Amino acid sequence: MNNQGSITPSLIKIAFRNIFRNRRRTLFCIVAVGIAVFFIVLYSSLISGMLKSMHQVIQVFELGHVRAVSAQYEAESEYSPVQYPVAEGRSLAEITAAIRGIPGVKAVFPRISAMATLQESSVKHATLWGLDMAGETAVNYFNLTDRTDGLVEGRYPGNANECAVGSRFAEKTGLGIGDRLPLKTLSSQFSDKMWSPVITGIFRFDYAKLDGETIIVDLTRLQRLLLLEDASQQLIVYGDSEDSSGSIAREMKKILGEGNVVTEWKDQYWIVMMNMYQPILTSIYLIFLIVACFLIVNTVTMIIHERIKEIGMMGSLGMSRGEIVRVFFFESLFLAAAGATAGALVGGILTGIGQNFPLRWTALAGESTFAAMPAANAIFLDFSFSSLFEAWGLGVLVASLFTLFPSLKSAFVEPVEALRR
Amino acid sequence: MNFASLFELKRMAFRSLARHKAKTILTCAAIMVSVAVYIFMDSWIAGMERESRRNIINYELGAAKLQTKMYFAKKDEMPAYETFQDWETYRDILDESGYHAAPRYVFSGTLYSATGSAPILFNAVDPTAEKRMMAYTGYVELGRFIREGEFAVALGAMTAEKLKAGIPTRPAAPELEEILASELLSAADGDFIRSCYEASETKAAGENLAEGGELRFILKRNLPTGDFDRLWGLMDAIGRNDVRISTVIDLKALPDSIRWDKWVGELWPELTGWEQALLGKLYELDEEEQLYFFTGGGEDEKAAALEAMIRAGFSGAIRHTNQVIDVKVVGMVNSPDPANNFNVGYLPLDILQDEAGMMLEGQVTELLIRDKKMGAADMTSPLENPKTIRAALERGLARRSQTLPSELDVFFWMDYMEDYLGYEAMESGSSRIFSYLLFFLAFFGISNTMLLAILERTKEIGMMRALGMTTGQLYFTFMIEAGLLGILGAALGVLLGCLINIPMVKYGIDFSGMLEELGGNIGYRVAGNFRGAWKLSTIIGSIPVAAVISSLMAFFPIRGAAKKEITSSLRFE
Amino acid sequence: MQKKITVIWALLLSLFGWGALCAQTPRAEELLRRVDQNEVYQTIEYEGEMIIEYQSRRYVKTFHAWVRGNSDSFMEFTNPEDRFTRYLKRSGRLFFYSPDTEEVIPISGHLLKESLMGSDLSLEDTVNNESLESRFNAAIAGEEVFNGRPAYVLDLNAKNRGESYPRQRLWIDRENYDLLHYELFALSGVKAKEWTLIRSEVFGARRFPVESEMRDLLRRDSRTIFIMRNVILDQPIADSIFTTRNLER
Repeated sequence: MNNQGSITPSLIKIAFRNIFRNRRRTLFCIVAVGIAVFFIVLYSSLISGMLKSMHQVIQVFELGHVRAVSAQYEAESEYSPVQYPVAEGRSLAEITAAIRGIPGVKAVFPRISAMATLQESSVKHATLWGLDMAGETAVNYFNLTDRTDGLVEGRYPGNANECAVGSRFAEKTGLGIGDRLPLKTLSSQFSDKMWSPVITGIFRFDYAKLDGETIIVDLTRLQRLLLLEDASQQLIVYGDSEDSSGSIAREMKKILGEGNVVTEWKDQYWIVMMNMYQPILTSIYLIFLIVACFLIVNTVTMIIHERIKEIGMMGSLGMSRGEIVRVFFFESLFLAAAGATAGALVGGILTGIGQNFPLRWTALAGESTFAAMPAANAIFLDFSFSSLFEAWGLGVLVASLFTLFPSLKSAFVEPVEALRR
Repeated sequence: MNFASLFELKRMAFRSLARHKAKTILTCAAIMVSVAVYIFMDSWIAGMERESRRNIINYELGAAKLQTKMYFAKKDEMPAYETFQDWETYRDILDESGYHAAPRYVFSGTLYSATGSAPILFNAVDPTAEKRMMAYTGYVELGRFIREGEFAVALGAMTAEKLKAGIPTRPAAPELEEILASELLSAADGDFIRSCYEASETKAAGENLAEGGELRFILKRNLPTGDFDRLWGLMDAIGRNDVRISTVIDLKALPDSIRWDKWVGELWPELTGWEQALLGKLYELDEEEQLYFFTGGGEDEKAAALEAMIRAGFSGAIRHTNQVIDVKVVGMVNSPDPANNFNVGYLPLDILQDEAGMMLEGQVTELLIRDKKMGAADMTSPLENPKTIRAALERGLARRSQTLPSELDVFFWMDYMEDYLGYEAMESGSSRIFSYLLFFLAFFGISNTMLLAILERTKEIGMMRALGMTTGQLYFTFMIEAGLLGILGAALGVLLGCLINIPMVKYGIDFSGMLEELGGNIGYRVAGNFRGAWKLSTIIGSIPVAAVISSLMAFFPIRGAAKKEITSSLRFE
Repeated sequence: MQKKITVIWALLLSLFGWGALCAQTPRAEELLRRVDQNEVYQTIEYEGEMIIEYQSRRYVKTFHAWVRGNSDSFMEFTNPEDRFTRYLKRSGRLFFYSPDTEEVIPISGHLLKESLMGSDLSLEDTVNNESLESRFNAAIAGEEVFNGRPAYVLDLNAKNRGESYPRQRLWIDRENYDLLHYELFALSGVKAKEWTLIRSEVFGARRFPVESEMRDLLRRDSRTIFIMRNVILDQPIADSIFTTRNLER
């Protein structure tokens, strides 16, 4: 075993030189491994892009990274009640400041949604959505497809009798900028509030649920209308990363105390559902892997098969079986590494560029109008180094492993026999 | 090139396949695996698409519905006043023609339990008919399905849980304590209830338990049926299952009087010319009272006037009566189609006929229709085409010397599903991407192997050329060889793919147990049984596609070899 | 009995007039006709207070109301949360003004189906014009002592289908004809709402229920108390009160 160690560098040298001896063969092997790795990269980037898109929709439009509401609101959330502000009786400003002080918290936004009945409109019911648009759009894109604030016309409402409506809503009602939108809602004090804001903007978030039935209003204005001064129905908190939601939620619970419900984005029904479906995504991934590996194995096997004569030659020149196997192993290791690098590189570049361009479902599958599922209209390929490494490692592993078998087998053929083939 | 030589070339192609046995096997295997996996994947995706459509048909809508045209036009508003009579006749006719039919009266209301309330969509159904044709009835997870004549409701499990009705499946410690504290339970009952649960620190859906989780009790699922019945009985006894439905009965009725401003502002502008003429005839203005009074008219005229008002969306033509119905929760529905698990309740139709119910007096909003031969695992049959059903209905009515009222029509399930199909299009759009990716991967697998196989034989090509073979003959021989390989590989792949598919289509893979386990026992039921579906186009199409790809891939190395000097091809390594 | 609820609630909404019960005959139809007589006074002006208690929360609304006849009314809220919110009913039409909008909004269409100030009364109810007597059959069900007062018990059953509450039961004071209590039943016979007189006051020859309580029996821990103060009867009210200009003032 001792001398083997000293021989190995020269074997590596032989293996390395072998690569350049037959460029065509080399090219094939590299291409096979490269393509396999490339597809694995593409697939995992697509899957994680899809999940990410769903996470974003939930984080931007529904829960943030962490959301706090009062327990009574949670119990009656189907009715969007406004009379149960979060941490009732305490100052919103003070609580917001306290939450902002939690390490890892990037932003805290109060949000209010209230049911509204519209007058003289073909759409009878809509949701008033009060939020600090300037602050929120600085942290998040609201149109997740175009990565913009979502405004397609006009401007977002200020602290006045103004509102912005979704593009589908505008289409359905035939209303546009400058039109009034008379509506009635109920304040936190059980008072009728008739209100008739002017439409100052039209937005499109590429999210059917919001584009069709939501009226965006300035938070301060809605607070005043609903008599929720220095109070809010919901508190949406964003951390530096979505993974920090657990620790932030823990701290928020301490700050808010009893009677309030703190929810992490991960606990949303659809996220839980998607996590449950993970094994299925994994098995599709495995199918990909099988086909990709097969591509590699087949190519490598054929190449080795062609070289049985060479193996015989090496044997007759006095190389031991172990040495022959090692030469082949190193050779294919180099080839696989080169191929996997090429594949990962191309895949990386494609997903790296692709992450800036939306893949629209509408273009693939026609207009989607399903509202129950939190899915925006488009997904982006997701670029990540870890998945590149994963695919690279996998390609190298499979390719070099599968060279081992045929070369082992060939190495046991008698040199004379092999030379005759 | 004459025919004889063509034949000879073909023989050569065959022979070289036999000669390079190892290579042939490898290449074949590559094509086979690619084709088999592609077929498998494609069948799976097709199966998933079918599954979701099947769910809609078998869990929610039936294959078609008999309904009034006006209801269909306003279906988003769920106009419970758009009812029809004589559904029994239609059911009997459909039954004679080979269809199951289940009547339903659909209305919305609020359900009050001892602890809270929730907006619910109520389906008043005929339990026997419903069990015969709707699959959700088999998914009453706890308790049982409703029976005729009882004031009972089967609730979506998620909503029951939220309203604290039925058996709690994952109560927090205080909730269980509250149940046990009831004076109506004996000590033995309390012990029994305790024995049905095991303590666990898990998360509830939508609940954050960052601090390691609060104590919850999880209902043991492997209890004997008798224990579940006893548990249900105890929950009944402590009043947990007593709920109250609050709703409004909407009745269409021609108003006796209409205020002048409503007449002018709301009604008149929405009417067509002849409708205005009709109403002008039936109503008379009393200037002093500022009211339009009904002055009388024939039954037909009254019916037409009422219909005109409804069509115009005139609110005065619909009367609202408050109704409160006390019922007992008898079952919790937790079906693979989530639509049945949330704010939905099922009541027996027969209890709603009189004043204690919804004053239906034989009226229903719809009749769900399904071909008798179709089961819960099936899509629709040609018999379920709405035109065919309508024709069968009309024939049956004609035999009874009746006709189908003009306001009724048969609608196909798809007509109700615009939204849903949008979602499905999206789903299949995403699965199609995977399918395309896989196709390309398989394509590369085939082409790479083929390129390699032919390239290795550049020397042989040189030899053949030296022996006087023309370029055309070369192309022919090798492309035929490659094509044959493609056909052989693809045929094997189809065989393998189909073999894998047979159990996939027949039984499928049941992930549900695993999926529910992974969900952390949160009680969401998922459609976890994945079954394939035969997709003939893919199965048949893959053979020629593989053959064409293989032959085309042979083209490039041959061209390369043909361009080379014969001597250099012979020296090729 | 829609009218009756409306009558009670109308006081708090001041969208209807109120007829005192001053008849002597204990006959059912007669009693009912008294209830229906809404033109007993010409005008009424008062300050109202409405206390809504719901799930251990308390919301207090105060307002000033002017009513003339059966068709014109005006009310203005005075509690801090709703200050300057005004309703006008004129010739059967409803208008609304709020400082949030600073303009008059006519209420029509399906908005009329909405509830008023979170109460159980829809806006549509306030513009209902049909008379109680024409819609219900009345019968005296007996005599009972209610809250220490001897009372007639009057049962009302709807003549036609489609009444909001087809069955209602009234307790009328035998001596002074105060409406002491009434209950509203859903079609199935389940009691849905009940109203109870707390205190009535005499104005000239009439008695007014100046303090009363309404309960929605479906909602847990829910009741509304209604109080009238500084009632002025039959004093002429200026036309300028019942104008949209007054809404915007």
